[in-house]
Amino acid sequence: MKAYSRVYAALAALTCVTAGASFLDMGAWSWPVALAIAGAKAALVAIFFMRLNAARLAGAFVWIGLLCTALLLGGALQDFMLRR
Amino acid sequence: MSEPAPAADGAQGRQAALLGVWSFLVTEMLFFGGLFAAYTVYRSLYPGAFAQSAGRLDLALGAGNTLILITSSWTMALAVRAGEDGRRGRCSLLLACTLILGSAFLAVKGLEYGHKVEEGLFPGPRFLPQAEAGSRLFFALYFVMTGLHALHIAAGIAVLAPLALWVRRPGALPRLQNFVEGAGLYWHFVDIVWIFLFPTLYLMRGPA
Repeated sequence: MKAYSRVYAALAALTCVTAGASFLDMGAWSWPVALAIAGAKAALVAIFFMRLNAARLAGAFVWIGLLCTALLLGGALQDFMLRR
Repeated sequence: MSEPAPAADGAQGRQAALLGVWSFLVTEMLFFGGLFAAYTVYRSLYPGAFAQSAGRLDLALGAGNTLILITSSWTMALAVRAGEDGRRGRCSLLLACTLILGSAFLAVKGLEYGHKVEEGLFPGPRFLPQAEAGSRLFFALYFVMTGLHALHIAAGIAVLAPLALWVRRPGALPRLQNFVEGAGLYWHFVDIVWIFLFPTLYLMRGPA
């Protein structure tokens, strides 16, 4: 229970951090930083709220699915990006 | 046909239910992932227009909505825990809180959409001129991505409302536990999609 409250507080804090960081001029670093913060928030939700690490078969399924999605989209994107 | 099917309850039943929901969520990752890929492509083609258009979105409402959804994920996680502890009144109350927060999210979204329509930023007759191709693309993507996300929230609310009433019945909760947990996984996933939507659409206001 308390763990959930802490995760919630962390998520709220990270939201404020990412919104505030958008006002800083970080040039090309803006989107990697925003992506990293969003990734951290997503990981918190997935691990603590969705209990992804506790699921065995389902967990493996998710990782494989994520890999396949990344391959599909990454492949399409790199094709586009490198042609320009 | 000689052996009976394994029971739907118990540990094996729960693993099966979780696998089922997660399989669905993986397809949803593909679905939203494609939209994020489209955004990436068009942003790289019109970086200035996308950055400038992002500035026209209401950051405060977007951030507020993010906090609303994060809170709803918290109440949802607590609801699943309450269900596991057999506390059906508390579980029902927390499910109700979750769907109320989800409704608040939709209300804020509706408010934002109203503003955008007034400003002529909605694809349709009064939309931005053809010359502003980049801005048109940004707002088309904005409405499609947030609109589909809002539909997912609405579907979640439609499922949680009867569920919140159903778990109150004596003896219903043990049978419904897998369903509650599955609904929770769906709700957290939709929250995660917004966690990525918010910075992508609202926060990338710089030139890069």
